Order: sequence, then C-alpha cells, then structure tokens
Amino acid sequence: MTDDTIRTAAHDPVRVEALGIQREGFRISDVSFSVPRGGVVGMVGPNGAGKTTAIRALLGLVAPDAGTVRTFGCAPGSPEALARIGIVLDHPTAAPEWRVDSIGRRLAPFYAEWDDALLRDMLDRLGVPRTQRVGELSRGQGVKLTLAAALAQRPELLILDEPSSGLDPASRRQIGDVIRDFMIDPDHAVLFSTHITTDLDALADDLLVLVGGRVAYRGPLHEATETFALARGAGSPPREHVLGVQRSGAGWTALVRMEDSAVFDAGTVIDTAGIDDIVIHLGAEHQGVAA
Amino acid sequence: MSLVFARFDLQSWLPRTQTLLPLAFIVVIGIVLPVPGMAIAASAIVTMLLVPTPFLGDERGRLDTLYGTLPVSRTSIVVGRTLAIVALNAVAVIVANASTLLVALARGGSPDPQVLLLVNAGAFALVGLAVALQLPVFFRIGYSRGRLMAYAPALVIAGLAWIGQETGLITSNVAPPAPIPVLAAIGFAIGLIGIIAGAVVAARLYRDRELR
Repeated sequence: MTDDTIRTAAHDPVRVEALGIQREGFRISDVSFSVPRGGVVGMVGPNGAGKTTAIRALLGLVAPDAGTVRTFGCAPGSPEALARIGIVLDHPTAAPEWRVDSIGRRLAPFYAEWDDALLRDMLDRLGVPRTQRVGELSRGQGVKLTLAAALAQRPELLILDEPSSGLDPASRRQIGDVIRDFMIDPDHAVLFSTHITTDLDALADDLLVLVGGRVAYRGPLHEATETFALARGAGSPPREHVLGVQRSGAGWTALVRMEDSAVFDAGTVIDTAGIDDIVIHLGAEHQGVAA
Repeated sequence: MSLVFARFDLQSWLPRTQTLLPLAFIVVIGIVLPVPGMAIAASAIVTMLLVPTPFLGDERGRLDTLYGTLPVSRTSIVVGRTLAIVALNAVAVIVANASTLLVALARGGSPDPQVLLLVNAGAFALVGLAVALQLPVFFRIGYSRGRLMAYAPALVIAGLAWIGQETGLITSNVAPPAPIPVLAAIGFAIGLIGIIAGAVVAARLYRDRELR
C-alpha cells in the first residue's frame, strides 16, 4: 500500500480519517481514505462491509461515532459541500408519481449551477423516457435518471453507491462512459462503490477494499494485483503468510503477499490475483475460513 | 432556502387527489351543514388530517434521503415544510370562509362576523396544536413509526371537548368568559405559538436524525 496516490492534501474533495461507526450488529472501524481531484476511487467489499455506510457518512446521512470526515473541507452534510457533490445512491430518490421531465423544474432552484439543457441531453443520451413517471422506470432507467440529475448540478465530485448493480452490460458501459466524460475535467473526482470488479478495471485509479468494516487494502488499482498473489494447493492450507483462505473440495486457494510467495513449497501453485480474488479472500479471512 | 423548499414541498404533495379531495370536503360541509362556521371547523380538521401526508409521501418516494442530499440545511427543510403546511391551511381557510359566505348569501342570510372570527381563531388554535404535536414526531422518526400521532390531534380535541362539557364551558347559555376579540386573539396566539414551537422542536430533533 502506498499513500502517495491516495493523497491526503487538505484540498481533497473527500478526506476521511479514522472513521468509526457503531450500530446494532454493525461496525466500521478506523477507516481512512481520501479522494483527490482528478482521481477515481473505487470501493469494493463483500455485503455488509460498510461501503454504503461510509458513503452515507460522507453525505452527513449517518453520524460518525469516531474520526473525522470532510468533504471539500466542510463537515459532511453541510449545504456548502452538498452543493458541489452529485449523488447517485442505490435507489432513485424521487417520488414515483413525478414525471421525469419535471425533475429539472423541481430540483433546479436548489442548485446555483443547475444545467437543464445538460439534464435533457443526458436523459436522451442514456435513453430515459422523459414523459414517463419515475415509478414506471426500470431500475436501470432510475439509476440513469439519478445520474443525469446529479450531473445537471454541475458537481465537482460524483459519489455513486453501487450504480451498476443489477444493470445489463450495455447500461453499465453507458454509465462508465458518462463517468469518464465527467473526469475529462482534471478538477473533478469520483468515488463509487461496486460489487462488479470489471467496473474497477474500466474506471478506477485507486482501490479501497472494505472488509468487515475495516480497510483491507487501499492504494493504486494496478498495484493491488502486483501486491497480492493467489496460492493454490491441496491438503491443509498453510497458516503463515496467508491473508485469506478458501477451501474447495480437496484443495484450497489463499491470498498471499507477492513477496511471501517464495516461502511456499513446490506443491503450491502461485498465480496472479485478480480484484475478485482479493475481495473474496480478504472477505473469507474476515468470516473465518469460507467453505 | 426555506421558501424554495416550501415551494418544492407543495409541488410534491398539494396537487395529489388525496390532498385536493379533503379540500372539496370543506365545501361539502359548508353546503350540507347549515350552522355558520362548520366549514371553517372542517378546514382545521382537514389541515390536521393532512399534516402526516407529506411525511407519508417522503417514505413512499424515499424523499427523506433526497432531502438529506440537497444543499439545504435541515432547519430550512423543517421551516419549509412548516410553511407549506401553513400555506395548505391558508388555502383550506380561504375555501372554508368563501363557501360559508356564499352558502349564507345563497340562503339569504349573513353570518355573524364575530362568530366567524371566533371560529377561525379556534380552528387556527387546533391547527397549531396539531402541528406542535405531529411535526416533531414525524420529523424525528418518520411516518411509519410515528403514524399513531396522526390520531393525536383528534384525541386531544375530544379530550378538550369532554373537559369543556364537564365543566360547563361548552353550553349555549353561558356567557363568554371574555370579549370575543380577546378570545379570538388568544386562539390565534395559541395557533401561532403551536406552529412555532412545533417547528423549533422538530428542527432540533431532525438535525440529528439518520436518514436511510
């Protein structure tokens, strides 16, 4: 892990230090990361890892119990910060009876930079029918509507919570294209969470892996696959130098650090680890050892 | 920003059938019940019944989360919604007074202005009471968990009526305890204090609410 790409400069759009949130049956501990200008940070982790809660803490929807959270140097949820953030949550935040073409009229008064022409262009580009009601839209169309509305605010930071979950590949590509276009401006930044690790390859500069409410990895995406390796073997898995183990049939796979790969015996096969391997094995370690 | 939010809020729930039908109900009461002031009393009841409506809409449309992500302070949201409810009450009162006067004219009579003033003041006091009771609860825990509060104003009114009857205050042959303008001023003051107190308490409670 290197901190030079997960920069912590004061002007970073997002800066989180030692975030702690404790609720019934759930806990986030000591989560630190930042999202720099010009950077795209992808957040991954198993269900219940704390991705959505961390995002909600950034927006001031959930109050931290420990640590500090700053968006554009302001307290989370402050109107000054929220005016600069476009938000796409995992569900559309619009009443089902609203017509799509009324969204601009409803939301524009809250945003000084609102661009109604951009909203219409984005809706057409993403194929969201403007005359339909929000409740009649498919999940994918709902996400696209929310993304279009978020961009019409002319934000500096986009925060997306599982934007591609449940979408077909064509829709995922459309959303990815929109995010890439947004990032043409070097002052912009993006933080998104996802279960679909191919989205990370396509979009993210930096990776943040949350497991069990803790940061399991943070750093440049390309370094993640260079940092870890996947060891495969038969019989009992080793106990040392192993970050996470999965058993399958008579064999096992284990996530190890690349520099530790030489310590395994000749019967162990060392492969490169993909992002999925990293997330699955770090998650397995958190849960004990997955079957 | 409170006015911006009030406008947004009214656009969200005022044009709905379930909001407009109760307003029509006020006119029906004004026509069907010949006693002057019944439509005005109905306007208060309708307003009290409609206070939970925007909170129900918030949960159905997950607008609570939207409010949490708008660049608006939570206090502005509370004040904006309070203003929207006051605006709804103003519409209801206008409809009620207009229908009262029109029905009276159609029947060839003219209602006593002092009675109308007193009924309007009493109605406003009830609205203030409803806002004071319901806003803090709905803003703190939302409609689903707080829906029993929708019945609270009705229970309070029934309780006050029972007390009034038991103490002999609500009888036609008892002289008013104070001049009618004074009673009206007290009624309007109670209403205003209720609305302000409800909004202040709601703002404090809503500030710390976690939005899902």
